[in-house]
Amino acid sequence: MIPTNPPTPASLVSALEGQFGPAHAWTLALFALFVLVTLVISIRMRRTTRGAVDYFAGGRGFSSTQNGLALTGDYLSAASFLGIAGMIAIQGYDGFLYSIGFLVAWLLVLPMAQLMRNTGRFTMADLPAFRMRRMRVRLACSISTVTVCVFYLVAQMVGAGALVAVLLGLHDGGTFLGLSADQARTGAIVLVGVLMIVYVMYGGMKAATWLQIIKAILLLTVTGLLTALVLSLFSFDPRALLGAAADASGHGSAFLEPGLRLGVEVPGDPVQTAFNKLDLISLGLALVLGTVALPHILIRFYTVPDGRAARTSVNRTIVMIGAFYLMTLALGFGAAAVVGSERILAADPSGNTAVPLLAEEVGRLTAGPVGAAVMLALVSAVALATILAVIASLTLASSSSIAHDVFGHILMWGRPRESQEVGVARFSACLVGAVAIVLAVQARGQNVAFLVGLAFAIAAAANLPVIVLTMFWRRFNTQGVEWGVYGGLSATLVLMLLSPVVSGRTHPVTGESLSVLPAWIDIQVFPMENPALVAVPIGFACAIIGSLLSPERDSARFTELRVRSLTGWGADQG
Amino acid sequence: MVEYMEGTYRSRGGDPGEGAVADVTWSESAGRRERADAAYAWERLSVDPRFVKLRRRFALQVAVLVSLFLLSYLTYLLLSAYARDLMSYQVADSVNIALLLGIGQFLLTFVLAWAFGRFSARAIDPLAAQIRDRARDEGALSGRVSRR
Repeated sequence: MIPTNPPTPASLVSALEGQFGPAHAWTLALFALFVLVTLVISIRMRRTTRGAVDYFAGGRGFSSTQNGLALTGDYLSAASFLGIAGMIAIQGYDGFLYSIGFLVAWLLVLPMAQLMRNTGRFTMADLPAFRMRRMRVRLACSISTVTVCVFYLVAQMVGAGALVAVLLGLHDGGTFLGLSADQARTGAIVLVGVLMIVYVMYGGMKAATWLQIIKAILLLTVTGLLTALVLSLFSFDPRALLGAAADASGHGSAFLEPGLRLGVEVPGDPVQTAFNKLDLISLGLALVLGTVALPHILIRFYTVPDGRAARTSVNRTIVMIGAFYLMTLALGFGAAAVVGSERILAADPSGNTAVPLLAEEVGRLTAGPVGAAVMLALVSAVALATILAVIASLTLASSSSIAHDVFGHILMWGRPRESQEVGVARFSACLVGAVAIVLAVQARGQNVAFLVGLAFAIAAAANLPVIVLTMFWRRFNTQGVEWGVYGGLSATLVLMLLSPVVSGRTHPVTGESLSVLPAWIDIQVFPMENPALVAVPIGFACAIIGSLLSPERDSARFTELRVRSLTGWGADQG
Repeated sequence: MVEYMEGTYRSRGGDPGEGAVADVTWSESAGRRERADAAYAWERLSVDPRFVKLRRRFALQVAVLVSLFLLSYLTYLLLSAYARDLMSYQVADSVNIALLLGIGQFLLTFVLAWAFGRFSARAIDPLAAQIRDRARDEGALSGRVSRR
């Protein structure tokens, strides 16, 4: 409890405020059950995982519905479940912009899924390497894959630590069973990290896919249940819900319009206003363009038998993700109306606890204290399961890339034994996992939400030009791939480093730093928080100029790639 | 078939079932000729009228999808950034234009995805199957994706 708050009546004391209660026990029990079931599945999958195709691509035997569920699970991270609803609860309509960007992005994945399935084998690097057949191409793609995955991983794991600390009620220096907030965070990060390494090492793609499928079903079910309960409080009238949210938020009708957080209009500062608006557009572009090129989404298309199944699975994904984000809208406004933004902000300034608090409140209104404990436990356990599943996929994507591209094609000149490649993949899963755990423990307690945006921006600026030009441009060549990847990657990183996210933003009253670096370091040059609007064109320009400056061209390979990718000839085996 | 231009390395025999591994007893010129044959076969396939039709249909389909998508999404983004007065216009009790446009983006996504899937299944998949059959009949092309 923050001391400045008025004392709350005992009936309103939340489980998120410190004492070990039935809700915590239920959360732990449910999460342990989830881990147990998925571990049993992993161990069973271990028996049927024999060759590289089984380990990296799940034996290419998943149906399009299964893969659609797995894609949904892959895509819906904790940022989607807790973050977006929390943003809507605090800032109103602007959180909805994120949902829209995350969903419509899949329209760009739709035509690419089939082409990628028909040309690649295991990793993203397979696509350009089909044409160029150069080690340098694989190295470049591998570097960008691992970079994107590690940033995303660290963001998710730090999120897991923060979630656990908040659930145990440790957000303001309390202790829980003798644990301080810091120890709880570290413990949670190490725990989910070790679990994810076990899944990936043990079961490979099959285990990761089943983990995702189970998680996606759980997440959609729990979200649906919670949404139905929230709407029932407002007798299923969305207008009543919106009105109540606007009244409770303290912003009035502005709460239901864009502009509270993104593209803020600063009165009397037209320059800053213009940059804020460009920032909104830049964010929208990053969300939409990054999805196609996220490595862990891309390798999912190799798990289905043919291009047609890949396309159908994207269609299924769009329906499920769309339904989920519409429910998030109801949850976000519901949290604003039922819980109130003051309590949400008091529990966690980033709003991540909006959904757990809402679940508890709704449970209490429908079934008393027992209902509160059960609903809170359900939501918390699902949130932990969500994080665990996503980081397992990310680890798998990066370890596949290290094993198949760097080891298999660079160290072994493209002639590794399958068993060696799989062994290296298991080893590099350990390595990537360990690195991610160390980084996440270092960054615990920091606000690392921007890392997810950074991962999307890198995918959009470094991977997307390479994928698109490989598929559609005859003149593309090795130097183009290298320039595109390294140019897009470094442009994004440099712009991010010089942006207000890293340094230069201070609280106008207290003078505290609102950026990552302390207040006395100010290297901010670039005025926008989202670099995509500048970085993506740089990535494309580098790829095109690099290609044109190099005399190399191989028209025959491009012809073969085009026939194969459109007809699917030869893609149904191996 | 796997030719690395740097660090070229030939396995002695290769693992069985790894696709088109060049036989070490072949001379360099035979390997080159085989590659040239395959390239010629792909070239022939790519000018097959059915393939040209397939390519054009796919290009048209993708162009329509991407242009509709970009048009609607960018319109939405620009309106959210620069047309705040319009977005805040209340249509009904606490339902404003911004919310309706947002939900509209969702509906449009569902419709476009459904239409794309339907068009692909009707106009593209049968053509692709015909071309695969032809390639199988010709038999000049190794069906396997060479081990990359």
